[in-house]
Amino acid sequence: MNNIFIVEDHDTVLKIWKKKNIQNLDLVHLDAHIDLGIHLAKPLKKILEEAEDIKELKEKLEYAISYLHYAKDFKKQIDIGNYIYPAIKEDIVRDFYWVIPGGIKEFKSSFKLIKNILRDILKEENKNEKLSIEYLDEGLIVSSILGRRFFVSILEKLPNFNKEILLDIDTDFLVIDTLKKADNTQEIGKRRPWILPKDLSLILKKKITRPKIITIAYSVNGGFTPINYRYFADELAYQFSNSKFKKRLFKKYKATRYFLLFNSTGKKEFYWKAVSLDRAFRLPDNNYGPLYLIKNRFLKAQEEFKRILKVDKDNFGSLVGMAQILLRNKDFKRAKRFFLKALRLKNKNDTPIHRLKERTLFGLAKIELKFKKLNKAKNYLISLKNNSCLEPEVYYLLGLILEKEKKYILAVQYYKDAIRLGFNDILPLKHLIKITKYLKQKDDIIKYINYRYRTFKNNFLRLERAKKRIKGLNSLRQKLLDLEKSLIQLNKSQYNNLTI
Amino acid sequence: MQAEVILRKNPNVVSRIIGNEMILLPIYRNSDEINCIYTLNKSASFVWENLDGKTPLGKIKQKILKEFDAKPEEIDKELEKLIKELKEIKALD
Repeated sequence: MNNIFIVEDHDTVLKIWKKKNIQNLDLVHLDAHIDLGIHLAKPLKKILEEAEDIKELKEKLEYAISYLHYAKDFKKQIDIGNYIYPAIKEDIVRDFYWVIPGGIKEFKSSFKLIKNILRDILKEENKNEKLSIEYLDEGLIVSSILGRRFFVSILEKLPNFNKEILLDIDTDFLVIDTLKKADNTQEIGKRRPWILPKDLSLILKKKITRPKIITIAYSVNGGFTPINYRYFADELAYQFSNSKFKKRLFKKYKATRYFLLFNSTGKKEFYWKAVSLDRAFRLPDNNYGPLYLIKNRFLKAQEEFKRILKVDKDNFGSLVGMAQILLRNKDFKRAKRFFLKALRLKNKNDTPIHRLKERTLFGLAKIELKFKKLNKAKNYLISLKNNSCLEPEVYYLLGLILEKEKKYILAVQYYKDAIRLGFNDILPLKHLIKITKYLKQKDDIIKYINYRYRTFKNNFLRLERAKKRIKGLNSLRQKLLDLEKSLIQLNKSQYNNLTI
Repeated sequence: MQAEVILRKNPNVVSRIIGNEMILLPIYRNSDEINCIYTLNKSASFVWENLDGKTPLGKIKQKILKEFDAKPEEIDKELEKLIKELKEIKALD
């Protein structure tokens, strides 16, 4: 078997399928995640064709135009959570078989979740289409999504295939025993394999006799597969093609053993031996700090970052992690030192640093703003903007700076972009209201503020009606009331009889 | 109004009827050029649909006369105004 590919991040498989000119093959996808997120920013023509009403058209266009403005290319949407969507849209994939971890018990207990996942995809693509599910067997269902037959099954119930198919495996499938625990921040440090690579490959070899291409993703980035089990991907590849992957597996296995020794002893020599065998052991997810950080468990995160920095003082991921904690603790000077050190590293540990670099520049911008160094902050933010950063807060902060510089027209543009890109607060609207008094031509912007305010208020009312406990809902209510007051005043001054 | 003139739609402007309105949407590569969508009323939609790159304006006017209850002078005036606006928004080549 020659067509076996191991990739770091799962979305790379799309490039492989394209390079191999794959067309119309069924995909068997073993993963704790569906990886079928819908691409929200679509070509404008497509949005016009698909919109069911003007409201939907406007909303989708706004996002797509902002996306296009900064990202320049819709392909930049492709990530580990949505690469199957373009594969279906481009007819690479025909029918889709999602094999979820665990057995019948886990399938049953996750069934509600499965339905919600499918329903969300359907809703996002076509809000009027209703989910229909056919039960083929215990642990095997079929539905119709994106015009394809869409199966969800457990490994045991996966049908046998005697035709050519695409086999795509995420290593996290082996270490997440149920969909309910698929979130990367669940079971931090406690994940253990529920099935071993050898057993999995034996089952797959029986069921799938003619895989056209086998793709296997490590998925360590993001913390889905703990780094200690990274070598499972190599072992799987070895099981499918002994000769090709034997040497590689041995090396990876040795590296893992050294890394485990480092974890238990903290000794520098073991860390560097592991890194010398596999540079991936310097990745940002070589510790649980990033996951603890997401969970706001700052002390635990700090312990993890310190543990790495003690033996690897130039570790990019841990430097940025430490800086983020210091920034949160308002220790701005030290945070700046850590961020700058990370930024100045020549070789950022060969890691996928894009997002971490974004966090670094953003952190530095926030710090400079605190120090009232507007120009420096602006430079960091502009650098983010020029690198196609789509983080709405970047544009909000740029709006703030330009407002302070009295460049109101540009500030309006940035506030609007922050909203379009999904800024989840009414602050940009508040500033837009404030700015209007300095603008000569204000009709359009006032219309925009009213439109956006209504959208925001409707979403808020929807949340309130859902009666879910949502943090910050009360303070948001107060903010909305304050905003409404200033909006009424603005409307009165502009159009005497406008009501909202 | 020059009856023999044949106008062509700009291929970078796409259109569709949503609800009761004809929507025009510019789809340029450069997002800076896309600021808004345009909606056309019933008679303007009728004209837009007939701007097929083959039919001269005079013939379109005849069609409007058949379809709508209006005087020829009014149609001339409205048609001229519409064409001017469509050119302004670069919906016509």
